[in-house]
Amino acid sequence: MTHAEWNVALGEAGYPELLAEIDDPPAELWVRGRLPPGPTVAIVGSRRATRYGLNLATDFGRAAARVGWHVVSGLALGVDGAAHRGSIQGGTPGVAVLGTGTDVWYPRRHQRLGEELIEHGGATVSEYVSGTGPRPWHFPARNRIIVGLSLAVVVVEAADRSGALITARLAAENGREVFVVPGDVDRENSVGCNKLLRDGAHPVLGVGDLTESLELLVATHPRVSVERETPTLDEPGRSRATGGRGVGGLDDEERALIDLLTDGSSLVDDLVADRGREVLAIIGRLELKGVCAVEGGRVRVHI
Amino acid sequence: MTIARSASTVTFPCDLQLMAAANPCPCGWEGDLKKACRCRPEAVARYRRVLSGPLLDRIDIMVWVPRVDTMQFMGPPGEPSEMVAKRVAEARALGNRTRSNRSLTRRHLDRLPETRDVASQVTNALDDGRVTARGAEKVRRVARTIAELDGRNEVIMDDLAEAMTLRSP
Repeated sequence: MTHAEWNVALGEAGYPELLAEIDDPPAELWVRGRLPPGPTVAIVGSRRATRYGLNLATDFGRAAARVGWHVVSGLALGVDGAAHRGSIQGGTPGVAVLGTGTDVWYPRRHQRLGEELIEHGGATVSEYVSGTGPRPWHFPARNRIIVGLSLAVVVVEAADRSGALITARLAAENGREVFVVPGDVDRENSVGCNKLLRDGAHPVLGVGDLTESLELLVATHPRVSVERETPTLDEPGRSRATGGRGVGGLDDEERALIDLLTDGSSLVDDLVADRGREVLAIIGRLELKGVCAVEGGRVRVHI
Repeated sequence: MTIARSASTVTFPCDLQLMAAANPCPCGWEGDLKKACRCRPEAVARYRRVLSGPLLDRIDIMVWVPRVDTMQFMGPPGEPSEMVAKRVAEARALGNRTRSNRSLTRRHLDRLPETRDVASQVTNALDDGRVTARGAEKVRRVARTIAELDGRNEVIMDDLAEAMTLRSP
């Protein structure tokens, strides 16, 4: 392998900020390649995915990468691999988080894929030192790193009690957005997804819906400030092209409120105290457009 | 209120205003700015599901009541009730109707002035499933109340939008 391994410890400069925020960040990270400099989204799901799930994972990976998002996944068979492949096609470098040392390839047949990720400017990452082989307990632990590195997690297909489900729950517990592809109620590979939806995850209804949600996340997330050459909310007509909810149809007042939510408090009471009762009407208009909702006294921008 | 049973149907007189409060989660601290909630997210979700959608749908106005800041609590009192009562009386006089807004049916609402975009927005929200049929009627009533408190008889889009924010806590 041409790329040398390097490592960074928790607390050192260069350790991913997002990862340091989770409940149990790894003390040390072994990396081959370059950690993502921009926004990150995990795409995870079943290892025994259906053709439909695989296609969707590839499409999502490609679409996310096209709009400048770094795709994070686990290099596993099934959804993980498909998402990585899509991201390579989309052109933004991705990250594979391994359950082995970065010099051990598991599954073996994804060695080439992992190397390609690195060659395209991405990275393979692990908390295990070189030479560490796969152990069953490495993979659930690996999932928390996938979550830690990502602003949002997309679950494509997941059976009940599957690893992807654990990843999604970890994401929710650590305050990351969880997007889930709804599935047929009578398919085992959908049970996990549908349970997540029942518990309040955001349904993702297609490729356009995903990229639009990611763009909204960029527009509203306090931590993401991205230099991107891709279009954002300000470009009219764009959301119409992706068949979405008409985010492009926000007026100045509404956009200003979304900006305000990005910078300051999202508490309805604070907003009213600052801007007067009129702010409620603006929130309501955004709510009617499906852009936000009031939940627990806060304005939550829907993604 | 009408209770129908196999043997008979009885109608009781009923006119009430229901006010209710609930905790956000089993430990009570979910969403608090200072204290951390100790509940698992699933537990919070389960707790909330006890108040079912259809039940919540019957409540006109829902607001989140956060912790009151100590300074605010110990500070000068807010607006006295007499002033609020006066405002309500004025709004009611403006409507000049025998019915209060909460008992307006759709037929009444349709006859009262509202701008064209209000009706189309309600239709959209219904189509998208963002409100139920019952909810739509409630939002319109609350929107009318907001307009009248503002001294207007015509309901405009912003009244509806504001009413919409009061549909969920």
